[in-house]
Amino acid sequence: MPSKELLNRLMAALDSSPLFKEIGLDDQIEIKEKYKHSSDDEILDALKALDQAEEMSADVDKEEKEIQNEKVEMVQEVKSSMRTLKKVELQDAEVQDAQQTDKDAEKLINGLGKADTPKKKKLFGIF
Amino acid sequence: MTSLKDFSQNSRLLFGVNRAVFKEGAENKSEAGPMKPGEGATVEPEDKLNPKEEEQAKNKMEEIKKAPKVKGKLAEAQKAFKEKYEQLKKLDDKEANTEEKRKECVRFLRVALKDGLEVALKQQEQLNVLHDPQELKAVQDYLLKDGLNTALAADRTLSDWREREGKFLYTNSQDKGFVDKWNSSIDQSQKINAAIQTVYKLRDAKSENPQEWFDAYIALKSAVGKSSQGEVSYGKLEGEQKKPEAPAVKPPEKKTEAPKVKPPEKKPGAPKVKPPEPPNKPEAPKVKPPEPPKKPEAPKVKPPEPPKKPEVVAAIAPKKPEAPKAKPPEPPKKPEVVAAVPPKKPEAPKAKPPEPPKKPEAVAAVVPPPKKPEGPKPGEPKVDETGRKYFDSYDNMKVYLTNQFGSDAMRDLNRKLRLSADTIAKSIKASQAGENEQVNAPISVNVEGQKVAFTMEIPKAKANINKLSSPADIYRISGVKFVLREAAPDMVLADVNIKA
Repeated sequence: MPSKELLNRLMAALDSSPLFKEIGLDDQIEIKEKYKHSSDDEILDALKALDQAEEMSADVDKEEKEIQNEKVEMVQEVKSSMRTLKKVELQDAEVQDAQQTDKDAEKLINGLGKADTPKKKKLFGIF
Repeated sequence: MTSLKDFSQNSRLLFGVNRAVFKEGAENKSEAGPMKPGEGATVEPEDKLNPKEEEQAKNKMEEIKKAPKVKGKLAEAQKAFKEKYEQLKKLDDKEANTEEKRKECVRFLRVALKDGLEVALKQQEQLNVLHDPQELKAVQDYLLKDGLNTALAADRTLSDWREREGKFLYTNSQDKGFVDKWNSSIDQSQKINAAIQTVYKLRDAKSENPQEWFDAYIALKSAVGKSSQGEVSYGKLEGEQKKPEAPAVKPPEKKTEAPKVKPPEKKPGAPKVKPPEPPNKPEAPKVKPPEPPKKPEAPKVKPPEPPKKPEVVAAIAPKKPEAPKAKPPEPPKKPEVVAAVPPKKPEAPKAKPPEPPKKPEAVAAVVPPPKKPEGPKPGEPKVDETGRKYFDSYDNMKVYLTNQFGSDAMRDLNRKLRLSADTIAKSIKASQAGENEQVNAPISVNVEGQKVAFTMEIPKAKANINKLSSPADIYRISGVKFVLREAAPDMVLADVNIKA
């Protein structure tokens, strides 16, 4: 049987551990029951496991925080690049419009230039 | 004409009205919540695009993919946007991965608290397989060698148990606990075989998918683990408890699976019971190991079993389906009584040419079973000289518990035993070393729901512990007594195999 002090320490640690709370209720009960009949060594192991798990969880928290910070920056960059893209697209569209207008105008001019075609000449009775 | 003064007044009035209007407008705005000093700072930084932006970004990506190649500024802008968006998606994935990692922490803690820190660390290490090619290689090596051997050994253990216990299939066919046990042993064998098959498939396909290997690893471990748990139930047999320890490694043999047994429907007075249709079980064929399973020793001959429990094959209807393939089928009606013959494994004769074993299968169904010297039937306690009631095997105890308290009680007890296995093993080792005075301290195992309490007594220097070679994490513990305290204070249970 474990020493009472050690057992109490473990139980307190388990109760205050957010990770332990994530374990299913049945498992929580089973684990607590198990350690009531375990040796001191096992309880020390359990405390060590708890520390290790909390450490792992803290690492994950840290990593998550870093990722979130990166994401905040990246979201701004995506927004900005999207705005730039839209602007460039708009400009591009304007340029294309202008080019098209130019083309149309040229076509028209060319068309007008071709007014003196044989057909037209015939129409106007030239020659 | 309006004088300048009038104009000034009017304009003041006008401005005044306007000011009033503006003031009123400002007040109205303030109801909607004008920004106060420092308020802007409380706005949460966005760590994701809002749905509309997300949709737009997705569409843009689609457009970029579909659009023909563009040049100049537009191409640059597209490229920049694409890069940023893809980076953001990667970060999303990374974030999702942290969720998995968090679950891993919980899983680690659960395993560490339930099965021990070492086990959890080991599993954690294995998880790295998914990310580390070297680790993957190590897992592949393990699966193809030790893993397969362990699985085959575990399967053999289960098969051995069925082979031994098959003799009692008929007599126990009314015992639901036994039938469940029998069937679950078959299920476990199937799982082990399925896991082995998976490993072979991966090997043959030369799979390089870490996830597949990892899944196979977990499946194999879990299947073998289950069979190990089963060992608590299956390891100890009636009449076997006083035997010397089982041979370390049994020679591998090929067996076909036993049939599943349906819960009995036999009427009490029925003279003859139909055997549980032996060969019709669609069992997955056993797979050959990559290399012949390691035979550490030449086929050990089982030491002659002491005639302590001349378990008689009563009307052996349940012919064992595991009969070696090579043997010619026995005539089914050979009326041979094997009363005084200790139960032998059918495959053992390979190693014992001079003395062909008696074949329990041959016993005619009509032969009445010779009476067991021990008297009590499974599930009934014996009485010793001092008047204490006790069980001579763990199976007996199981049957008793199942009958008395239901199978839940039994399952719960098994679970508790497994949980206590480390403690038990440590206490016994200490007992053998003579260094621990606490070995006689009881270890209680509460069977929840039924409120049955046991005390595990480990008499100093009397208890014995032996690690069974297969599966490696099973201890055979003898000399440990389980005293049923509340429901039946005098009950004593002798031996048990425990997963440690």
